[in-house]
Order: sequence, then structure tokens, then C-alpha cells
Amino acid sequence: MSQLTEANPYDSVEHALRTYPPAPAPPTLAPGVLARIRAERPAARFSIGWLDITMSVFGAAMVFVCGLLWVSIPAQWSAQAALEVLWLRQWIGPIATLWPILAGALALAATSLLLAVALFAPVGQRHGR
Amino acid sequence: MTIDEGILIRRAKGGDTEAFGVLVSAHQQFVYNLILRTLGDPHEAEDLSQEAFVRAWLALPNFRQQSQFRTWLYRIATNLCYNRLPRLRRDMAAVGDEEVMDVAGDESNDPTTRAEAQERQAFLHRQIEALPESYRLLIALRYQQELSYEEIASVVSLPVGTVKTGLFRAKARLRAALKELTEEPA
Repeated sequence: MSQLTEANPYDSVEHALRTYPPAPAPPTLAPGVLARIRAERPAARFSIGWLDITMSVFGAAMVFVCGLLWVSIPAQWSAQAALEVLWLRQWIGPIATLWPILAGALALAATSLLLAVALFAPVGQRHGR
Repeated sequence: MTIDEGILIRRAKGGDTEAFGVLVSAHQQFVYNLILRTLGDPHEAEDLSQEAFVRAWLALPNFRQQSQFRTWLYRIATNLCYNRLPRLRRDMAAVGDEEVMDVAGDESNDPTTRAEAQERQAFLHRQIEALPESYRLLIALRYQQELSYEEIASVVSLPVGTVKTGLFRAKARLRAALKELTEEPA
């Protein structure tokens, strides 16, 4: 290359950066992408993840343990528990008043859960990372 | 994001591959160019560009339209480059964020001839290709995709200061190469 006269290097570099040509995409790119996404299996509307399995196993184990405890409780203890329940019912009042409280508690739990999902759900493009 | 693009994104989110095809056509050159300028291999750039769009398609239900689609897409492409070149992220982070001040020159003072200017430009384009990948990535985002410093920082997941320092150093390298060329004996 021949020797070049000295020009303002800032201008030259800035100009070279601005005129650095972008490479055109190959014509096979877009068709390739479309072929791949059409071949992708559509996301299942219902799927079971490892967390679901873990929670189900835990829940089933808890039910089993409770059942086991219930059948292994001595008769004297269960009679005493029945008395305690009777006493509790008298203390609380009629059983009908319990249902609104239970429904309210469930509604509160569901609202909290939905709020938590809305606030802490993964955002946007984290899949790309 | 244009209104049309917003509609296309909503349709693509609903599983419309035709709508997504339009988005691919609109953005394929930028995504391909970004990856090609960073990796330097056309075949690999095409493979990774396809991968970027497929990942975008799969992640589209999670895309929230508060952020720009192209920035989101570039982030996916950049992350694929990071995966392909693990040292790239380290190199980018190692740039640091010193205070830098770029100096703009005055083009009217340039006394060189047009032929010399073209020769110098061609030389600098070759020098850009010879820069490290981290600098090439920043240059592609800044000068070819015309992203702001803030957008680039969001795409490469680094502070704005690091982006500015990286671009400053890339330009300093190019100036040094140009200086060597002009001082070279005939």
C-alpha cells in the first residue's frame, strides 16, 4: 500500500466505522427458521414438571403419614380427641359460621398466590440467556 | 416498535408462523450481521442466527412488549455469541468503565485526496475485522444497528460505562493502526 498523507485520525476512524458495510443475510436464513419453527412440536397445553411430581409425592406422603397416625392412635386418645372436638364446636358456636371464614381464608390465599405470580413471574427474554 | 410490529408480535405470540416470518424477514439482516461481525464465520453466523430466531419464537410468550423487540432479539443473539465464545463475556467485562472522552474532528480540514481517503477507509475496514470479538460486537451494535449506549448496555448485560470504554478503546486501536500506516515508509 502506498504511503498515505496524514489525515485527522478521529474523522477517518469515525467515517470508516459509519461506512463499514453490514453483511446481507443469506437467502436461506428466513426459510430455514420457518422450517424449524414449523417442525417444532407445539407447546403442550398440559404438562407435568418435576416440581409437580415432587409436590404430588410430598402430598401423597403426608396423606399416608396422617392415615398411618390415625389408625395407630390408641382408642383412649381418639376418644379424648373426639371430646376435644365437641368442646371446640361448643366454643366456636354453630358449624355454619365456619364456612364463610373458610371461604374467606381460601379467597385470601388464592389472591395472594395470584399477586405473587404477577409480581415474580419471569420477565421477557430470560430464555435467551 | 411500530404499531404493525406490535400486531405481528401479538399474532406470533398466538402461534401465527406467517406473522413470525414477517418479523424474521424484517430483522434477519441485523441479527445475522451482528453474529457474523462478532464470530467472523458466515456458516456459523447463519446457524446461530437461525438458533436465535427459534429461541425467540419459543420465548415469545414471555416477551413483554414494554421492551423493544429488536433489543430483545439482539440480546438473544448476543447470549448465543457468549455461549459460543465463553471468553467473550469475560473480555467484555474486563474492559472496565474508565472515564473516557471521545474527540470529534473536523472533516473539512482533511487535505487528502478522494483516492487516498478510500484507500484509508478500506484499510480501516480490514482493521475493524481484525479487532477482538468484544470490540467487533460493540461496533456492530453501535454503528451498524445504531443502538444507543443504554440499549447496547442492555443487550450485552454490562454497564453503560463499560460499553463506552470498549468503543473508545476500539477506536483508539484503529487510530493507532492508521498512525502506523501513515508513518510507514513508502
